[in-house]
Amino acid sequence: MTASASLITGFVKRPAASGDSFVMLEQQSWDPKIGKVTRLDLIKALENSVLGSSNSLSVDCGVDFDGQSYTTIVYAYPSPADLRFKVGLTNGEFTAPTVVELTVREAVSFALETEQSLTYPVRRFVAAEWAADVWNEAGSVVARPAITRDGQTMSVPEPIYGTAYVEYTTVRYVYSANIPARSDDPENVFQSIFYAWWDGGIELLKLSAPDGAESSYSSQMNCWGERVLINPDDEDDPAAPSMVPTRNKEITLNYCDDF
Amino acid sequence: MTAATSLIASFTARESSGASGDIWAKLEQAYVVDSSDGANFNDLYQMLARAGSGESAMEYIYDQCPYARIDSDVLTVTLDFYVWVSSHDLHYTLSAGLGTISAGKVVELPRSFDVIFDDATSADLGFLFAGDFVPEMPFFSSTGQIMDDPVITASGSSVNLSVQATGALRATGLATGFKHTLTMQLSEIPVTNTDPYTGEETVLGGYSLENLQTAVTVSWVDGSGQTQSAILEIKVPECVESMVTICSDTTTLYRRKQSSGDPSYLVYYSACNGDILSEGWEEEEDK
Repeated sequence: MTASASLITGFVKRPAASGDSFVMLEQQSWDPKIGKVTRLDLIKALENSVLGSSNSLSVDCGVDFDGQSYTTIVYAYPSPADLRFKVGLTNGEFTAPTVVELTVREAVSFALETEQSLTYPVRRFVAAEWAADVWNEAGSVVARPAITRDGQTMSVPEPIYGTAYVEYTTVRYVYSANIPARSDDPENVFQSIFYAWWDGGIELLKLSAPDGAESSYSSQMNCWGERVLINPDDEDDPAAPSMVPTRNKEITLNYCDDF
Repeated sequence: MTAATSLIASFTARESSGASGDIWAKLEQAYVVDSSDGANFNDLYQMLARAGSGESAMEYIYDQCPYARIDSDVLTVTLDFYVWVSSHDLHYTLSAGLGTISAGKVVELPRSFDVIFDDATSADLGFLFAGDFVPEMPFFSSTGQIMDDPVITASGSSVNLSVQATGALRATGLATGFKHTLTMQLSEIPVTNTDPYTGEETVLGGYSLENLQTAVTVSWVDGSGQTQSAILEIKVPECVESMVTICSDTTTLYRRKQSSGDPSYLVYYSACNGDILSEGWEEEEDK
């Protein structure tokens, strides 16, 4: 299994004085389609308006139904894999983790260097093989050197140009985090920091909300243009907000003559 | 094309401050709602409603772009920006590559944000700030040990901890600085469109978009007497570009304002920019 290309948001620092132990934090990247109204969606809306059809109109905005929170996946990669650590969240809640060991296959490129780092902590090293020829500083093809590994660091004896495919396994803790809007704040309502600490260090990760979530919250209009009315009296029943479409003008058109 | 000449203006804050430390100024463009990159169902319904009632759907685009207006063939773009300063009495100078800059107005903006300490004792907020700082999580030593909450003090644009630690505070309060408005004016210029097959030339009106790119520079004198400066590239909202995009479609469309009744009221408008070309009651030969 190949690890998905994930976005590391905010700052991710290495523990300052951790020896060999650390925890790497990562947030699952948002699908680029989130919050986007497609041409097909617009055609459905056009059909509804012009032909009186009743297509269901909805777009994944990346936030929960009422726009008051969003749910995201956070990964923690401990090194060593059996490191005992704890996690916390400054704003929101998270589930108990599921723990998986996944196989990662990644390309490691050397550009006149002798060392490169793998993305994730290595639980079990599987293989490393050169993807193509290897060149030296003079641009000559040279014999493919042996690749050695120390932790996450891959090394070759001499500076070379070349790319190697490296396969290894890593242990990943998967958390589902729900981040509510900070209703009293004028801005940055979805800011939250996920953190992990262990005997030896502390790691922080600023979580990213889906694109447009903040502006949708402030305008109370979701990403497909439907107004989300928040009634303060509904606080005890957040699952049932009032939703009123903004379409406020009925148009009677003769499809043959007017279009 | 006519563009306003650049203005170099200097400003001095009206209040004094006892803030000490480094002397600096920073620029920040006011929040721009960039809604022109796409459209949603509400946009579609709004434009349909206008098209169906005899108005131009383009009017909706204009309505949705509060940063620009076209009046008598002159496009006026107005964008706000802030100057954050290290002390209220800092003397600073502003200049813009294009446009004029208004006098500064003292503003106190409600702001709320996370302040992160990464094994540090102080954090720079980037602006003068007065408000509350509430710990959002335990504070940790660099070896991962939970510490007693350090003493939190704030001064001017920085917030400090009594000991070095990793943690986060939630800041809620008022940021103080100066708000200026950059105004750019462009006149419509004749643009010739040549038909690739017939060679026929059509003169169109348009605005030279590349001239909308501009930057604001702030300059001040630091504590050692050296002149320092900072530059802000002004982001022109995409909706402004949509408003002034040169259009070569010369089609004239019309809409009946009433779909029933006899006669109907007809509105003729340009399919290109939505300009209403003529309107009137439907005549017998129109039917």
